[in-house]
Amino acid sequence: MDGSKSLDPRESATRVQVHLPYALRATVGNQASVTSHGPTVRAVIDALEHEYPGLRFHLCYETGELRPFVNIFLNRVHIRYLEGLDTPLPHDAVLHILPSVAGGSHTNPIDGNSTHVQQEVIS
Amino acid sequence: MNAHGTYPKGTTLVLVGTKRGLFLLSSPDRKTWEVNNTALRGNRIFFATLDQRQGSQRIFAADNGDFFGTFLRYSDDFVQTWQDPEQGIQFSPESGEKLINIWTIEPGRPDEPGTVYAGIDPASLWVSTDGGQHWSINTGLANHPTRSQWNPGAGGLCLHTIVADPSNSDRMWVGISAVGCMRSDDGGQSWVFANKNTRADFQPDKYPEFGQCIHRFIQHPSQPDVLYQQNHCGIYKSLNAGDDWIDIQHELPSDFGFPIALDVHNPDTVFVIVENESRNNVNDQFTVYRTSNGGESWRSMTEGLPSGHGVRLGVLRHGMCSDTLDPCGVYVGTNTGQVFASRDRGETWNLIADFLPSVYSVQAFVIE
Repeated sequence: MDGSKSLDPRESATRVQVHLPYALRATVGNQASVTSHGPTVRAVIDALEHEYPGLRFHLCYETGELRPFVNIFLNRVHIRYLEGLDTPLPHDAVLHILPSVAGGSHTNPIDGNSTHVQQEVIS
Repeated sequence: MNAHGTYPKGTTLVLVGTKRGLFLLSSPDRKTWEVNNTALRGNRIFFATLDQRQGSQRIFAADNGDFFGTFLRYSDDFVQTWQDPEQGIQFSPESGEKLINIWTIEPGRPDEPGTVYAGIDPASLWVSTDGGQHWSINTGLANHPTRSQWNPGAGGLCLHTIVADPSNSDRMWVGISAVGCMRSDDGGQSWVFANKNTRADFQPDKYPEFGQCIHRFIQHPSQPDVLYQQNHCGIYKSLNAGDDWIDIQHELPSDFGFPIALDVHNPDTVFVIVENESRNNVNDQFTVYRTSNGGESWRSMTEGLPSGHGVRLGVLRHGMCSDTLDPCGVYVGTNTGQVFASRDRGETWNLIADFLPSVYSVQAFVIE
């Protein structure tokens, strides 16, 4: 024995706990949360897509842009107020993925901007 | 539905896509109806269809989720369970495009049993040749030289109508709002506009080559050059595959409406619903209009349909259809959650479902 040990490359990367809403749990084997790895939110989504193919399309458009009614919080702060998908993640970060509460026009008390609301027009 | 998860031959099945889920209405005789919820509940189902070619009984649904994406689903057990394609409708990341909504899904011609078409927003035609497992974009339409000049209607830049001509495997039409009718005569390699004499009252040029807000169109089953169209600005008929159109509004009280359907056994019999500028019935009587002479004149069909000061019903572009029985059945789903049915070519109507979520589409089938 030389004292060294073989490391899973993921062990040296940032470990992240990701909590998923009910609507997405079927895509990750009916789990409420999963452990993933990555230095940014985008990298975590990439890692999740690798492990659970198809999950990314639930969160992002083909362009990589986050869907408008998908909200991701890092340790209780919306990544919209950080660096979006490029937000760096500390070790043992906790991400919560939540759908918007839609249904009415609303002015955000934090930044005063109008939030997105669900469009009803389909014709 | 019987214990085996199927419906007996001859059952009339109406797929009802709503703001909150897909419902199945079934009847052995078109008199008594059973309303069933499905595994596709909660999401916005713009459209669903049943493919019965070559012994299949596959339901396709346009599942346009509020939050977590847009998906074409299919089911082989009448939506007790559903599956996703191996390669669904998605643009390549390099395209810069993103799927907004799936608007329509149409099984292909009888002699191309694996082919299924889908129309989406942003306006594009998607094709599967393996029963819906793998989808690819029609590049002829996607790369149309005028593509950058296409503008959306109120519902988006949506390709909502697909007609694959059963008499000519090279010919098909699509309807795009607010672009108009387009036709391919070479199997989808190239597309031409087919909007002559249809109005675009909201444009500086009222009769542009394209830019019309076509709402829905259908093909005559035995005269394949004959098409009928509901438009934002009129009701039209073409006798020459869309080379030009004839205004057949006549005495109809509005030039605005979405859905259109016909009686396959009497194809000069066409049904439309027209609306006022608030997108409701024009007066206090909810009315389906019928022509029995190919659009020469129209009759109001109201027996069994609601009336009164508070009656304000709207019907979307996929909200009316007919079945293939004789006499023809007609089905209307409203934005207030009712489904009305007639089993006598529109002469009389019955409420066959109520308190549904807002209805986006109805499609009727007779189980083979």
